[in-house]
Amino acid sequence: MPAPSLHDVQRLFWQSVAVRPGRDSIAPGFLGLVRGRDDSERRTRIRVYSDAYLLRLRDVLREDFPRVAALLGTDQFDQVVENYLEEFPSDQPSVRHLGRVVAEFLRHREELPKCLADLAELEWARIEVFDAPDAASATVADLISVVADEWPDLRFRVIPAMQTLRAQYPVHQLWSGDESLDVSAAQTSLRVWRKDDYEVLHAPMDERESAALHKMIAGETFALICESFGDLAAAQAAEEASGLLARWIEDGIICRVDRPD
Amino acid sequence: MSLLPHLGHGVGLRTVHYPQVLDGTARADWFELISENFMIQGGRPLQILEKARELAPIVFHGVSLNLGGIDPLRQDYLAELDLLIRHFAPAWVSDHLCWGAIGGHFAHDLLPLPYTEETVRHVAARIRHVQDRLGRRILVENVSSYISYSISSMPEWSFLSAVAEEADCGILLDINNIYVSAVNHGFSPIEYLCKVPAERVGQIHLAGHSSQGDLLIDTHDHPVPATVWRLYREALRKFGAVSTLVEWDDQIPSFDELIAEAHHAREIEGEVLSASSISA
Repeated sequence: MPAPSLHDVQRLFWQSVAVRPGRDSIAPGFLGLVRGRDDSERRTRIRVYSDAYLLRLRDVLREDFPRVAALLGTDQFDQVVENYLEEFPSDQPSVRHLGRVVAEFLRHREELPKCLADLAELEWARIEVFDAPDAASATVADLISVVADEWPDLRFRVIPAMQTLRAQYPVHQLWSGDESLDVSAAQTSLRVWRKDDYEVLHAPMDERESAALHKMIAGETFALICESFGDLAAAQAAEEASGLLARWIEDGIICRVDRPD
Repeated sequence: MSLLPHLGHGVGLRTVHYPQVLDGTARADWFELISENFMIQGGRPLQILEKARELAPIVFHGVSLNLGGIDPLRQDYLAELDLLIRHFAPAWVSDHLCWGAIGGHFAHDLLPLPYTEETVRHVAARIRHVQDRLGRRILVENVSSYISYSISSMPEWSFLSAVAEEADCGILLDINNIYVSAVNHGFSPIEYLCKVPAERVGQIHLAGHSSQGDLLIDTHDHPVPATVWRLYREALRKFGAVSTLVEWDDQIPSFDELIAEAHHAREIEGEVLSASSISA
């Protein structure tokens, strides 16, 4: 019988350590490829790799999703990780991307509380903004020289290190609260962003702020952004809109102010 | 390798030491950084990297090049590595003599290869491709292992030497990995050192390990043990002064404790080399 090829060796190795994480599943044919006094020793040696595979990636996911892990508890989180790795083994050279579809995975697990998927989405958004491209934030000084006639046609560019997300649950409370999954469903909008000092923050938004921010992201003019406050009296709408703009500037989520040509 | 500078005795930079990098108190001869941790678009890690290279020379050490794998080399990975190299100008770049991915899936581990002629040709061709793509010679590191293959037709040191010769690459010799694998597979670490081509050894790694039953595990969570320091002395007698780096990846101590290990390596180098010059 010809010696197994390099491809055969690696295929059998992978099947033995990674295809069914957490379960002893040494591929037929792999034991014979491993040197050892007997099969027991061979299994022990192979298990070093299968254990390391699971433990290393579990640690990565625990670090990336600390609140999901805390709320699930050790045993249930470990089980979720085993199932996740079986369905979504890492497909990128950097392990930083391992948890990319954890939220989607949790959303399809009927046996788990539905709010977990939303919480995972928030935790992942925080990771994504952590190493998103840099951009210097605009300051109040960038607005001081804007004359009154220019304001309606101003457009704003948001920093790359900012994301918005919509959740079915108040995930910001889950993120900062106690160890309880007992929350009622409530439509929630959040923005997640990285400050100039690299701190990652998130904040819930009411419907007006959410609408206004999405218009700004879409490149709409300040006049159109202000329409998000159209249900208010004109003076109050202007006050709300300018207050919001001041807060966004203070939070550092705007990186450019474009004046009309 | 004569083409590489002797940078002295450095440390692997990990996230817990970032504050000392930012305030400028992380003082070392040089820093080694994990390439993949900086294949990102922005944020704090890249700021740390900029700051680190202001403090000392840096080198990039990869863990996911998959040099021994069957999958095609990831061109997107090489492009990102090339970009990092161009921007941050490391003194050199290294990765591991192992495989770590198949079918597009990554183990994020350093998995052992069978030591055969087929594997030598396969890996050497891939290293040459990487070197052509990056426009520079790279170093490949021997990994620690817990299994060996019945189909292997040569000892690890012959495999390492053959790959380095055929690829015309450098060697990052991990002394701890030699010791760990020697215990796990029952070979002589001294014979290993004697058979490695000295002219290709451009860097040395030192680290700690743990025991698990009859096996030693390359955990990088302890100080460098006496057995590894002894082997380091042997390596210095054989190779002379080589840029040396202390790795510590788990239960990471303070920067001061870490740098003390690098200083100890420097002391040992001084002792060994002065003794060698006296006996010569």
